[in-house]
Amino acid sequence: MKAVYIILALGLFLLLLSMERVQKERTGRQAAALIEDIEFKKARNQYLRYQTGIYNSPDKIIPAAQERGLVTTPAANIIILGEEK
Amino acid sequence: MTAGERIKICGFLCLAPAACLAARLFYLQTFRHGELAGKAESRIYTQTAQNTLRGRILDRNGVVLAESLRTYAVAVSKKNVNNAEGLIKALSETLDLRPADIKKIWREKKNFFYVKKHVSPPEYEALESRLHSAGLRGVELEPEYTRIYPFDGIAQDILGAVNSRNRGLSGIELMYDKELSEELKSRRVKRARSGGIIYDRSQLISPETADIYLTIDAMGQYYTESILKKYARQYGVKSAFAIVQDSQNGNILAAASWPARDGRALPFQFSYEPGSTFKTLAVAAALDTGAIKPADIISLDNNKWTISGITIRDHQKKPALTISEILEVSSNIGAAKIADKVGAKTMYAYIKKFGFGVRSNVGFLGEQAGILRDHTRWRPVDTAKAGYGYTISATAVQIVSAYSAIANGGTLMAAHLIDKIKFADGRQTPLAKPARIRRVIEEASAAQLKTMLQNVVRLGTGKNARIAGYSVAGKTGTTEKLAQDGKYGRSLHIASFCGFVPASQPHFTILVVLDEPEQALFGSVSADIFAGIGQKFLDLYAVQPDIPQEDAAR
Repeated sequence: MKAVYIILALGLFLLLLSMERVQKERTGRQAAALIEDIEFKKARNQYLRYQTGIYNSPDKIIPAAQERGLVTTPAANIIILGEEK
Repeated sequence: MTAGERIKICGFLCLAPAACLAARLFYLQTFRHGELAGKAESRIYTQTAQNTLRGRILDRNGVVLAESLRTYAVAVSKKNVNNAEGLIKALSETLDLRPADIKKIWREKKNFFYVKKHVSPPEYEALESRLHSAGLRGVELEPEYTRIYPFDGIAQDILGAVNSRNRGLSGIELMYDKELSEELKSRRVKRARSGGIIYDRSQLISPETADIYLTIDAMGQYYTESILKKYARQYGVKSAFAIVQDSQNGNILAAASWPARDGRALPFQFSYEPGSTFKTLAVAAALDTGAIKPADIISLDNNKWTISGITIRDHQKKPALTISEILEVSSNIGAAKIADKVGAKTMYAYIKKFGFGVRSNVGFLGEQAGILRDHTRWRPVDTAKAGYGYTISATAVQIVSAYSAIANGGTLMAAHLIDKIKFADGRQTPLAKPARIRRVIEEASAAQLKTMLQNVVRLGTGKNARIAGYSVAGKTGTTEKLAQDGKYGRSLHIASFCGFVPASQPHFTILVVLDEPEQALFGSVSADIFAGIGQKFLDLYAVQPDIPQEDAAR
């Protein structure tokens, strides 16, 4: 009888062990998915900054500003606080 | 049969399958371990591609000029595909590829192949959503990095380029490749049943790359490039370049070359005979040593002066000129006689003191030192010719640094192109601390020279360099280039202008050089370009005018 109980206990232990492994794997996958999601969002954010950078490039923005008649303020018209003129 | 025997039989029946299982496991683990472990490895794990992450290159204000963008490499693992036709259609539609091209590579490859590299995040997002909605399997997405230049084309000659593996090929990208790059070696990652990759914490990258900050001002660089390009096209020059330096601390604020090519920065790599812009330095040496006084008058010997059997000619109407007039009208005989008065040894010593004959502190890839022969090998005519910028050759960065020395009162400052290196752990190495190399001329000599150079712009050959509201000091230069037969050809010229603004308190020293313009320009167009670039920098840095408008117009 003793051997049967030992076998049953061993089986139960192995069942718990496999359940724990499955759970760990599932959590790992969820974490991996979240990490991947964060990495992707970071990449998308960087890509959007890159696109903004392209539109902010002087060779895009200056001709566009000039077309609309915008000009650089002459330095004479700029007052810098704390600096004597 | 006794109860004990029955229990033994039951126990044996229960244990027999377990014993068989144990025996089978023993067999697999011992005799077929290698084969099965290999199969499991290839089924569960995969390797990511090797890649290089690079740090950023920024301008002096922190504007990003180059950085590494996270993109994706899309690959197919055929053995994990559940719907080949559907997958090919999805890939071709979302990645803008022809189905025939995907099918061709599909037939050629046994299992794994890349469909497209450098896929942008929006494309990746569209693909993933399509795969998810259609339940398609077998696509692997590997993160990688692509080098991007948001201000496409600006400072291209300085920044340089990288190769397909993100390693520096030229320019700053190559000069600071060690600091900028970090090899991301091929790594073992777990693969999901669907074929995708499961990333774990070990896959997260903490960059160890450094960011390189330049002394360049992106906006000023843009203006310098665009003004240079406009004139270079208009006058059909072979090449053109311009450099803008902070007159006080030696920092390079812009360095433009036309035509622009990756890593070909002419202000550092092109050396030429500076011609008349060098007369300023002959006069500087003469004033500083007391060989001449500003009020001295030099005879032009009827516009013909023979020395060592070689005749130097001039086209001036006056029989004699003051020192200031020699610079104003750019008299060759006047400058030659001044250099002759200074003498070969002293002239050579001053040229060396101004920083010629050695590479600048910038150390740009392919930077030239110029040519400066030892004075013991000079004939008297060589000394005279050195007075108007022949028999020696120099780079733009050397000339602009020498003019900055005059602008700041006589001190040669080290030129800087790199402002600082910022490491991932927050450490910073400043590289553009103002560094005095040496005092070249006395302040009094520099002040006298400044007045003379202002006269060049007010009354002489540099009138086109005038900027309304600002005092400008500078000198034009036209050099005849050596033709293929070794003689100076009258048809091949280098036209230049070097000066600083505002002359009363110099902020910017600018040199403009046009190589082989279609017509002889005599530095006037270079002076035009100088004025254009100078005006933009004065506006950008809000430098207040130093002379009333009505005086500037005169």
